Amino acid sequence: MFGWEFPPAISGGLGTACFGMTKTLAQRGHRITFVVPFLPQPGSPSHVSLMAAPGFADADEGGPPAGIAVRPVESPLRPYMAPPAYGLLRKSLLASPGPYGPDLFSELGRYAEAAGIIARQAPFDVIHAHEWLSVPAALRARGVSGRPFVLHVHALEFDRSGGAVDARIAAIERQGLLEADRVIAVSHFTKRRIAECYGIDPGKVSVVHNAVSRGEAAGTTGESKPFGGKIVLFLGRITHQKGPGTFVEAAAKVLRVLPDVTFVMAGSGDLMPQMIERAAELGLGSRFLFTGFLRGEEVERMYALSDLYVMPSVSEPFGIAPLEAMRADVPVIISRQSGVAEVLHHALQVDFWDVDELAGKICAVLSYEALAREMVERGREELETITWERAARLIEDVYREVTGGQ
Amino acid sequence: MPTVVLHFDVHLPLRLRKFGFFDIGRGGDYFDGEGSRADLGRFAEGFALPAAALMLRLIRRHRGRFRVSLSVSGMLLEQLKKGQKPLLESFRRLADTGCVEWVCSTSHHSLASLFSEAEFRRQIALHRRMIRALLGLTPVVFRNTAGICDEAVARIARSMGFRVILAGGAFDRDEGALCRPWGNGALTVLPRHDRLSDEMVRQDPGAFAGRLAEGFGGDEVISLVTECGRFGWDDAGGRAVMRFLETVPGLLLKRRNWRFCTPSEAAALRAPERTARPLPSGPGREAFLSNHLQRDAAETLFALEGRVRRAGSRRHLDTWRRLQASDYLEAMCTKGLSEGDPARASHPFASPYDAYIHTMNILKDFSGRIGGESGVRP
Repeated sequence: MFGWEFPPAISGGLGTACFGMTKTLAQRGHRITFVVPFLPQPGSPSHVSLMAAPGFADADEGGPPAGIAVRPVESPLRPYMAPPAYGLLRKSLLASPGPYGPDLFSELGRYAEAAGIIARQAPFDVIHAHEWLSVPAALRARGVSGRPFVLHVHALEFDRSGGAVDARIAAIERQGLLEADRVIAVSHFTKRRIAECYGIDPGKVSVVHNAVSRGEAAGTTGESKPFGGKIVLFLGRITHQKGPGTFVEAAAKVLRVLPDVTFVMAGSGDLMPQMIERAAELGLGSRFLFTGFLRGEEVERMYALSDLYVMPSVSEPFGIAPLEAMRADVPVIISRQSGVAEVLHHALQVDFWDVDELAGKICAVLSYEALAREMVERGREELETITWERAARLIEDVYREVTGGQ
Repeated sequence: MPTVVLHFDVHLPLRLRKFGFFDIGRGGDYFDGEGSRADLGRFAEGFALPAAALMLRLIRRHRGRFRVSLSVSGMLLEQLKKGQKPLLESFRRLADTGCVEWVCSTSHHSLASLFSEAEFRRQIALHRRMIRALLGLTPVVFRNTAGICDEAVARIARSMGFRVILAGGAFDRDEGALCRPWGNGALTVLPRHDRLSDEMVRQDPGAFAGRLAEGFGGDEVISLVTECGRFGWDDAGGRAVMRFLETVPGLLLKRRNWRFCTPSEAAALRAPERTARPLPSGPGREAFLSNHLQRDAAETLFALEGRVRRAGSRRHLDTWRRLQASDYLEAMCTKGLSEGDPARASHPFASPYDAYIHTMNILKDFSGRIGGESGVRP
């Protein structure tokens, strides 16, 4: 499996999803070699390239779950990466940029070489690759081994970029979709987008919704609020895709009638300065706070403090965060334009552009106590059914299909 | 001689307008006039008119041996006066045959029996007056909203002069068990045969009639009750009733030993066999007050009673009554939602949460209006 993140080194939903998915597949008897790019921390021994290295295992569990071998490949590649970001990161790598490619695309080529080597070493039946960044590596691995290649699409370039599509990325994505033996999409929404944007036959695409791992980091209780009033949370990358603008505008509307509410925007991203400016312009002052990027335990604490979680994404192929919020017993409002809306029935839904509707529903959740209570109780039951077990069974169906039924 | 008592509960709520939080205190309407008219058209043309015409044909064809009972909610009757005269006319023609018994209920298909005896009595009296005025009949049979029946309901119905109650099935749910009328003083209670009532709209009518003929041969009274609330949206329900009417009465009446009776005829036929305490029956709390949303909305609504009365405004009282239609609470049911509840399609609100939010916004606004405030800010 070619992935992009593995705990604890994660920056988004992709790593969480890969972890839950591989763990369950391994429990069900599959053996997984998880190939992931990794950059040695300054000070730690370098050139670990093709060997399992400490630092990728979940520290609490004393290693990756049984059945999963993590194969880190030293590379500055990162999920959600765009060409300029690669350039910046490479420049920042101390004095010596090492053997890394001069730009993102040549680095992908170098990474694919490594993938080819791994493919020659390890025995396997299926190549399961996540996202466009893995496409060159997966194709190389298939070339070497002749094994079928399943492309797992978590997001499309069209969703990530908000219209400013990088033609080179789109070309790789298209190539992957065309060449893959089978495509897995994280939602029907994404399946439709794959057909619309790339003209891929929908018959080739299976939908496997993401899930949340049960019991993992269950809600921190006894968290006391640092200030009075209710808290409404936005948590995610502050980028066009996540719809932070709608959240700010809705906050202003809500505060006009419920002045005691506090809005929190947690995360970082390229639109953050713009959002800070807009919040200031609207005079939201101390009722609208930015936390910057939160990690691990901070995220859990943030959920525990919140009375409502809002995900107003413009385009969200799946969106795992609402499930995590629900796990912490926080009611959620999600955008209708999200894949997770296909599996969540006990969340409120709004169109991402509809500031009035969002503000109205925020007010309703904060004003009518029975609403939050019902959503949380029913949501808890629903979460029990959104399991990686279910997802793993569907993934197994895909494996069986591409391997001719074994 | 087995006896079939057929009863159809005919009701259509007004459609609630989408009432956002920011509409509170702005003086907007609660009901969507245009949407309600469209609903009424669909209900009348898609179900009620053809069904009424078919009943009329059956009565003529079988020369009065086909008998049926109807309760038409006051909320629907009001809409008919304004928007669907032809349907009102068909109801009158049915009434004129003498083969249709008109059953009194609560005027607004309300759950008042669970919250306020005073309001419950008033709605019964109001519905009785409406039936008298529109159809020239005085009903002697009572059926509470959704068939909810317990000791209190029976007591109130008796004190208001009713002789028969149609109740939700409280006992005799077992396969093959007889449905006997059972009494309470001068009152006879006819419990709905739940299993057969459900099967009559689900099974092939020919097979259903065959199973009835095989399964019963004594003096049983079988009450088949169907709620025709949202037929016309969900065409499957309406079609099933039509298929039943087209086939089953004909097949049963061909056998000389079967008969159809109205509820009061069935009650007069035989003295109640035993005196039993009326057990709480019907879907009652379970269906309408099963979750936090439904309980909160219902309690909020009925808590307004005192203020509505003190305000002394006819308009406010009407509005409050309209908001009592059980459909609005039913739309807040969250059970089975994860599995994709098919009944959802017929509700104007996409989700029970939306139904609750809009209803609560309306109640908040209404609370402000009866308080005489021009606009409430929550």
